[in-house]
Amino acid sequence: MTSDDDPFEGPPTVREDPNAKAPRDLVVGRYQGPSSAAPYPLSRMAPAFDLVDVAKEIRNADRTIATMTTGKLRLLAEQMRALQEKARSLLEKAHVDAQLHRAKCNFQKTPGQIYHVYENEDFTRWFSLFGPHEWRTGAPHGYVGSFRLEYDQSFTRLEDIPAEDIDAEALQRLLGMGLVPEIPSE
Amino acid sequence: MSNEQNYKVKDISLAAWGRKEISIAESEMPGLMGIRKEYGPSQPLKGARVAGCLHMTTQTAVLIETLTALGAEVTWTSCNIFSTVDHAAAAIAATGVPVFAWKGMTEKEYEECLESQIYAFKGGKGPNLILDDGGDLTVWIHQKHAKLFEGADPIRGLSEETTTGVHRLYEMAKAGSLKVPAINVNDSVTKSKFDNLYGCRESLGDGLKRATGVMFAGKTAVVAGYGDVGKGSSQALRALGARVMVTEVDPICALQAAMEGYQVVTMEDAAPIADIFVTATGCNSVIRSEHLRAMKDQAIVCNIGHFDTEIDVAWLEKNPEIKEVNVKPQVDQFIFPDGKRITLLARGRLVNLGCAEGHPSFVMSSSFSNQTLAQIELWQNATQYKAGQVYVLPKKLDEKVASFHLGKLGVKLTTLLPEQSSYLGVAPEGPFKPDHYRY
Repeated sequence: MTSDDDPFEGPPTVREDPNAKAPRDLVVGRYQGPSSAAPYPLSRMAPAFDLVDVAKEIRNADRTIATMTTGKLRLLAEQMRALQEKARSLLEKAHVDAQLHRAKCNFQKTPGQIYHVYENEDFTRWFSLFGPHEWRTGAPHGYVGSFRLEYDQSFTRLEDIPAEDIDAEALQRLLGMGLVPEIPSE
Repeated sequence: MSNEQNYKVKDISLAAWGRKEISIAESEMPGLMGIRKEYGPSQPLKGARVAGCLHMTTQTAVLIETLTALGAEVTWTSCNIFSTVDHAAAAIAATGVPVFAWKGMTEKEYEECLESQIYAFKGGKGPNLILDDGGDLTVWIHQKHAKLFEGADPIRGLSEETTTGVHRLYEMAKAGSLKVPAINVNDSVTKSKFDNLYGCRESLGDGLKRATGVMFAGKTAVVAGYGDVGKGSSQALRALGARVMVTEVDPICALQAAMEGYQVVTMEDAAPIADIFVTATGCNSVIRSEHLRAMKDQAIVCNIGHFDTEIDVAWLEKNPEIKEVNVKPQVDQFIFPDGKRITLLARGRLVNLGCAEGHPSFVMSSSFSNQTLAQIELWQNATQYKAGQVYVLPKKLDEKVASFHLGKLGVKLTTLLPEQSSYLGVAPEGPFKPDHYRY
């Protein structure tokens, strides 16, 4: 047997052997189907393709997958970090809101209204309708901040309220005062 | 934004609601509406700048609009930190009247409101008339803005609504520190014998019921003080089946209470027995720590006298052994070490204003008609009143206030015949009684 006939050594190649007696299709392990479906090139015109190429493909694929996966994992990690951060800030906000709700207040707060918070010497906080610059008798010391109560019972700092919100509020006030005629219902 | 507002109320968007209630109140306030009709065309308060400090309720809104209808410029504060009806305040603020009042302000904010209202008149002018309830604004202006009593357009006078404020006025007059003439509206018969008595008779129960829903029938109640307010309060509790006890220091009032069938006791005797405690004395330290200690579990304690000095709330608040639980606005429970709970309403301030909405409109019409007539008197006839003196409105005006209210109730008045008139020595159109008559 020539090395050419060994199906386990290198790519089998097809050669014209005038001495060959046995019909090709009787050789065990050899491809016997139509040449158009042959797993290896049957013509010199064909591009070279062999098992080494497959290995390379696999290696390339592995590398690409690894790169992609690392990228995706990194993205996930970043998202996780961002979510963690978001969760932390939410909890912090909830804590701040809860603390504000515990400040002394004898009136019922209305969502959409702005309130001013002050802190006494004994660290008790209290809500006021007077802003820090509105006091004629002298502002109480320990101004904590001004907040708008939202409909979900959270608070937004005055400086974080977008300007268009304040316009909408002014309009709402006019509506409430009856200065803008109500739209008649059908 | 809020710097430009010439008012301070809880929520201006409540104005439409407040306006509807003001319209209803107007139909129940024939005195004020009658004054608007009779005096409106002559604008007797033109040029007057009235600084008013009186519970900012729906009824007061009708008073404010009566004053403006007569030509006055008005600024307003509430004379109690819990007594404002927020939608009424919003409705008044929406008309452009500077109102500085909301329910549940702090004491610091209260003073700030008094200060703000003095500066809130057009062109930064101060007031030239004061309308007060309890004397806080009067004292504030005397102490901090004495210059307002001098100059080209000074304060011409003041009218005072309530017993406690009048008491302060007489003390100031005695000490020589009262700088203007004052009219004591409280002692008009159509005020104290109506507002204090019939007003409290209806609004005490309203406050207690809204705050606690407690059943009166079969309960033991103590009313401290048997003046006009105490009389009304006792009747209200008895009418729904409570056993009412009264405490008094004055033998005349004590005898009145006893002859009405109330058991007159001391607070020491009453404290361990009673379920409901109402103070109406106008005095201080009526319910003290020893009484609070002796009370039963779930006792309800409230005050309907003008100031919050009648119940020793500070002792409850500062005692480290006593825990405090807020049930809802104006309702607090104090838990003693043994687990006993005492319910305190409106933190010892006026329960009918803190826990309900004050007196009904009809009776307030009578009080506020006196206020309006007093303001007209002080503005139009300033020369007839001496600075530093306290006056009561003439009997004729008192009778006029009453007559404004008769039509609404379908009252038919009998007219004196000429021979009856000469027999009594009383003109058929009044005044019918001498000034010292007690009604």
